[in-house]
This record gives sequence, C-alpha cells and structure tokens, in this order.
Amino acid sequence: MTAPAGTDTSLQSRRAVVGRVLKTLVSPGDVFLWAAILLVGLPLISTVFIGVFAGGGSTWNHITDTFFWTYLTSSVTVLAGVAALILIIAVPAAWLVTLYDFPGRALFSWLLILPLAAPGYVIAFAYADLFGVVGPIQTTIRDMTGLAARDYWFPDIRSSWGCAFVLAAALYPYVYLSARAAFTTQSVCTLEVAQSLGASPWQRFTRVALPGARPAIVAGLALALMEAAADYGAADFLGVQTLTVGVFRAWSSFSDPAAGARLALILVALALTLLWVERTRRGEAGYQASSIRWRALRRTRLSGWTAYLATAFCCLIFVWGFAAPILRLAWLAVDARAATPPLLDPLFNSFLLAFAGSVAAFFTALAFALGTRKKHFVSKFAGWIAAGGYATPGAVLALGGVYALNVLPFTLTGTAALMVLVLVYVSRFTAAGVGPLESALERAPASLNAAARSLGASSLRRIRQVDLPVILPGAAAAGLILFVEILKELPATLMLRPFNLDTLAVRAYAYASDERLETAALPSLVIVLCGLLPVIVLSWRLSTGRAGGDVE
Amino acid sequence: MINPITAKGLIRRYGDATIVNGVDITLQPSTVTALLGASGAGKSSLLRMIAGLEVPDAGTVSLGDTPLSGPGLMVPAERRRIGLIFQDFALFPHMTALDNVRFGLADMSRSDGEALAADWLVRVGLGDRLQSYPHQLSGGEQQRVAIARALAPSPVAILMDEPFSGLDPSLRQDVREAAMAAVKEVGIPALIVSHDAEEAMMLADDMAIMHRGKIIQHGSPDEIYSAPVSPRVAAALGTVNDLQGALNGNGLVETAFGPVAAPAEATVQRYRVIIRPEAVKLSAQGRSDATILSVRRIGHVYQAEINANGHTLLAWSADPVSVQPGTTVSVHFDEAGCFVFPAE
Repeated sequence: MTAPAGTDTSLQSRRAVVGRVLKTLVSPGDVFLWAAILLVGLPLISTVFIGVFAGGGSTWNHITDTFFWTYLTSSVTVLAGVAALILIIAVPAAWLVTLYDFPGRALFSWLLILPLAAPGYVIAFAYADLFGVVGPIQTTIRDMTGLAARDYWFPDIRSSWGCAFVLAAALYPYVYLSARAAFTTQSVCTLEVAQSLGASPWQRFTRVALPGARPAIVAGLALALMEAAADYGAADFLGVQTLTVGVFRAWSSFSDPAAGARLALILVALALTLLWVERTRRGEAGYQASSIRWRALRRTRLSGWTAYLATAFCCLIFVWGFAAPILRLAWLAVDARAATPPLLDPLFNSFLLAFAGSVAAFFTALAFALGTRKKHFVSKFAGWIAAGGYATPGAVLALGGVYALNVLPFTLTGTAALMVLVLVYVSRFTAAGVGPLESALERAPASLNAAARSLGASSLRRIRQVDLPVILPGAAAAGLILFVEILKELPATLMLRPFNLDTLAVRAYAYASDERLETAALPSLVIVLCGLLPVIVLSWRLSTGRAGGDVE
Repeated sequence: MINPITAKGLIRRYGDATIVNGVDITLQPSTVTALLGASGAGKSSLLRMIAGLEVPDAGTVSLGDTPLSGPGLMVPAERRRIGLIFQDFALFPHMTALDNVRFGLADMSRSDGEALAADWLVRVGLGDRLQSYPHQLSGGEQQRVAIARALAPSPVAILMDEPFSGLDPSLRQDVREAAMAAVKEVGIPALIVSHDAEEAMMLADDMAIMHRGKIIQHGSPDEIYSAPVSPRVAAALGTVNDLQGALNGNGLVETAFGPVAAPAEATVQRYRVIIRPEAVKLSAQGRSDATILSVRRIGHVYQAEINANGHTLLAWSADPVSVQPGTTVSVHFDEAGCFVFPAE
C-alpha cells in the first residue's frame, strides 16, 4: 500500500524520489536518446565554448576594428528586407489561395511552394545574371533606349537589398505554408461568424483571420529568418558581408576559427531568439485542429477583374520565386557557349555525403522521435537541442569541427574530417527529420496496435502488416527530406569536406564565384531537381493527408 | 458453449497512484455490462486488463474455467480472442474496409476470409463500401467497420471503450443500434465503458458504477437507478437535487422544501437528501412557501427552478400549466425518487 501523499518526508521516501528521477533519466530506452542529444549538441556547444574561451586575440581585434559593423548592418538589413518582403507577399497569397477561387488557384496552391526546392545560392546565381550589367534585362534596356550602362539607374542585385530580394524569393514558402495552414484550420467557424455579423471580406481578413493566424505567421517567419541568417552562399556570392560570411571568412581568410566562433556567438544568440519565438508562437497557434470533424472550406469565387488580379498576383510570385531564376539557369545550361562541366564525380560525391549524412541523421532523429514519446523534461530538453542545431548556421557548427581538427593531429584529407562533417550534418538537420518521423509514429497510435493484438496478430505480424506499412511513408519522407537538405548544404561542406571531394553544391559555387555562370547552371539545376522530390511529396501529403479527406 | 469472463481482485498501479483498486466483476454471456464513471475512475484500465493489454499488479482474469491473467500467468491479448472497439475507431489507415475486417481472419483462406468479411460489412450496413479506405468513410461508417472487424473472428467477448462518443449525436443512434444488434446476435459477453449515464442505461443489462478504482455499485440499471447506495451513485445516473435535512419529532427528515421519510434505522440527526427532479411534485394546494423562478423545456419535460428561503430545487413536469413562473406552489416528494443518506 502507498502512504497518503504529503505525509512522507522521511529520508527513505526522499531516496525513492531520487531513485525515480534517476530511473527516468537513465532507463535503458533512453540511452539512445542521450547519445542522440550528445551527438546533436556537440558541434554547437563546442563552437560556443571555443567562442567564449578561445575567441580573443589579434584576429578578433582586427575584426572588431574593421568589419564588425559592416557585418552587423548587412545582416540586419538583409533580415529586415527578407522579413518585409515575405510578409507582403506570402500572407496575402496564402489568404487568396485558401479562401477564394480564381483561374489557376489549384495549380498555384502548390506551385507557390516550389521555391523550397531551390537553395538561396542557386537563386542568387540566376538573379545576378538576370539583373547584371550584361544580363538580358539591362541589355534589352540599352538596346531599346540607346543609352550606355552609366546613363541610367538600375537596382544593384549585388547589395544587401538585392540579397534580401533573392533570399525572400527562396524562403517565402515557409510563411506561405504556415499561414495557409492557419487560415485553413481557423476559418470555417470564425469567418462565417464574422460574415454573419456583417464584416466585409477585407475586415474578415484584417480583424479575424490575421489576428488568429498571427502566431503561425510569426512562427513561419522566424523559420525563414533562421534560414536567411544561416545563408552563406547567396550573401557571399552577391558580395554582401553578413555575419555568416564573416564567420566563414575568419576561417578561410584569417585561418582563425576561434575568432570566427566568437563572431558566431551573435548568430547563435540570434538563432536561439528566433527559435524561442518560433516555438512559443507555434504553441499558441494551437496546431491540433479537431481531427474527426473536418469541414471543407467553401471558397468564394472571384469574378471579373478581381479574379484576374488574383491570378496575376500569384503568377508574379511564382515567376519571382521559381520560374524566372530556374528558366534562366536552364537557358544558360543549354546555351551553346556553356562548356558541359564534369557532372558524374560531383554527383557521386554529393550522393555519398548525403547518403552517409542522412542515414546518420535519420537514426538520430528516430532516437529523438521514439525517446521523446514519453513526456518528461528530458524530451523537452532534447527538443531544444535538436531545434538549436537546426537554427544554427552550418558555418557556425562547422567551426567547432574545424577548430578540433586543427588542434587534434588529423588532416582535413582524412576520414576524421568526413566523420566531423557527418556529425555537423546530423547536428544541423536531425530536427528536420524528427517532425515527419513523429507524425508518422502518431499515425500508429497505441489503439491500432491494441486492435491488431485483439485480432490475434503476433508481434511479427503486427510489425509487418500494421506498424511498418503505416509508418513507412512518413519515414521515407523524413529520409528524403534529410537527403536533399544535406545535398543542398553549402558552407559546412565547403569548410569540412576532405580535399578534392567536391559536391554538386561546392562545384556550382566554385564555377559561379569564377563568373562562369553558364557552367554553374547545370549542377545548380541538378540540385533543384533533387530538391523538387521532397517538395512534391510534401505537397502531395498536404493535399491528401487531411482527416476526413478533402471533400470538394 | 459461451463462457463468462470473470475478474477477481484486479489491482493496477501507476507509480504511487492506484488506478484500479481491487475490482471484482463478471461479464455474463448474452449480457451487455456497462461500466460507468467519471474520467480517471479507472474504467479504461480495467478494460485493458481484461483485454490483456495491461498486466494487473494483482488479481485474476479468467474465461470460464480458463485463467487468462493471474500470478505468474499472462495470456497475451493476441491469444485471448477478445474483440476491442475504441473511441477513435483505430482502423488500419492503409487498408480498405474489407481488408480491415479480414485482418482478424488470418486462419482462413483468402476467399473464405473475404466472403466472411464482406458478409459482416453487409450486416453492419456497409455492403457498398467494401473497397473504401478509412479516410473515405464518415465517422459512423468507420465505427461500423470497427464493429465488423471486432466481431468477424468470432471473439469470446467484446470490449468497447467509449465506442460512440466520437460520433455526432445524429449518427450515434444508428451506429449504436447496429452495434448492439450485432453483439446480441452473437451472444457473447460485452463490456461497454462509458461516461454517458443515459447511454449506459439504455444499452446495458447490467451496470457497474466505478469511482476511484473501485466498483461502488453493481446491478441492473433499474436497481441502481431506484436504489443508489450513495449520493455519488445517485448523481452519476442523472440530475439530482442535493439537500440538507434534519430529523424532526415525527420521525421524518425535514428539508427546506418539506419532509421526506427517514431511513428505517435513523441513527443520526443530520441527513443528505438526494431527490430526482421527476420526483418533485408541485401543486397549488397546501403550504405554499415556494416560488417558481423560471421554467424551460428540456426535451420532453419542463424544468422548473423553485426557490424557498434561498434554497433552490429543480422539478421536472410534463404539464406546462402547473409550472408558471412567479406562482407560489407547495412541494411534495414521490418517495421512489428520494434517497436519504446520513450526513458525513
């Protein structure tokens, strides 16, 4: 029998409490979780440690004397520009696609997420060419007006604002998707009530839908800004000296990763702040919509010029985020002037690294997803560690590894570097796999297993016929997302890849930096093609994965 | 030969909390037993122990003379052949309705299994949805599939955990009737866990009220309704008035609204008087110190809220004329709906 609560303060019961706490922390099933937490947390923690304790010295002083304010103002300008552009573009687009019907709506509803497939640096290559002095737009202007390049003003893509323009094009889907989800789940009841109370469409948007969706929009924006802050490729290529570029330069130009790590502390603080915003808002957004009774939205049909305006708006976004840059790269790739670059070796290297990284990250993510099914503080801690790695720029995570490899007696050609690179991949991307895996596991609730047992299924048959088929699609999606994210990764790969192990991303970046954009186009397109796979899977799941089915 | 399922002295603890605390219950063939109680009373844990999904910390479960759970013995759920139906349906999302029902028929050849599964789906009224996937079915249809799936393998008993509370009220009636007809036809013991007293009384032949891990009363719905053993049981089965009373000189218990009969052995002075609203009779004659505050229709009766000296009483009446707001009335009680317990 148990003693009544509140009466036992004896040493024995206190011991029992300590024992229970220890048991929760180190129960055998949690060993994998702790190992996963350690793996994921190591790069970030070591970078922070190095930054705090070893980051001083002449390089750091040099940086603070010269570039520091440039780094800071560039980063702030880029992030502010990205935020403003994304909000103006993505939120109205999500609103239109969710609540109105106009020509091309169904098509646009998924076309608008395609930019997720293209990494920022690829979009940057394309726009640098499109908007460059010898690019098609300026050439056409000169041909038509007869002016020389110096005689007219044209927006400079190689600037902080240009960088924001490019990154917003690549990242707006984060906000578009979360706003769309929020509008879809909230709107049925509240909007109809608002309508019955006489609110105009504009009032329903600004007074009901927008306040309701604000947590989700802010959360999506925080994610997009994390990615923008993590970007190295686009900013460096466009000559914008952001903090992330500075961190990279501390290693590449000054060979002082410790100073880079100190500079990275600002980025880590920024990333953790954005992460905190994202997590708290996501919590408020109440993402668990009632699953059993799901009612289809009735969309309002737009007519006349408003319908064409809506179509034109969506069309413009699609051209900006995907069609223009990708078609330009395709044009460059097939252009006769382009020398076909060797593709097979970098493709093989990319697949090799992505495979190694995604297998490691998959199993780490699985340890997280399984380990955190029990709700106690370890799972909360684990969630923060995984998200912390995801929020931190790859260049920052790689610094810890670079530093360790400089201190330890290894060379960058060795397998040590490869293992450190895989570790950085694991740290950066595990969180991207945890979500899909968790939702896959949720599809197999305990009652499903219990039902199978009550029908006489042995444990082997349950795994084969129930658990695996139910979980497999989600697990495959998680694996695919991890594979492609790692394939697209640039800065950490640049810093840690063994000598001569060039991936598609590294090759494309090297060509582009040499102003050989025609040659960079083909590997860039291959990256985008690979990136399209998980996007297609994602959009398919979005359109078919609703409880009750999408009745229209 | 259909056997009863018997649980004896079942105990289940989670950490320091004892969720099921020594439960004895027998599920008889051709009998629907309802387990009624608030959430957290231990109903689901009891069901899961009978099903073999949880290991009891103490006690036994047996089917007829065959032990299922006991000291050193645990027949796993997959070998008990006890059908289960859940609130969330728990259909296999990657299988058609037919394949869901066929899942438990692994011993049969494919064609026999399909024929039997189809037969069961026809019996629950889904003959035209054999090839539909769960997400293409409505909630009511999904639950019908779950019922067919549970009954198709000829289980020795069927256990239902809040089977109808996930459904819209309009669907609930139909699905409930289909389910109970199917269960009765098979004649196996059935247990239905519910927190809806009306539903439990409607469906059950036998009823157990559970509170804090114990069964506090067990009997037919009529017995429990007409002779609850405690205020808690009385309140579990429907709306009640809960009044204070004191023993007066005439051997009656006096409440703010008048006297009721005292229990046979009146040992204390103060009593708790539980009165069902339908046992409250109002009339214009006699002592009229009570006032009708408001009247509203609830279903097939009118509910009047009555005030006397600051005390409130609910009365149900089929006659709207006798319950006009603002009028004073005299109150007396139908003894069948009055339960007097010594105050604690």
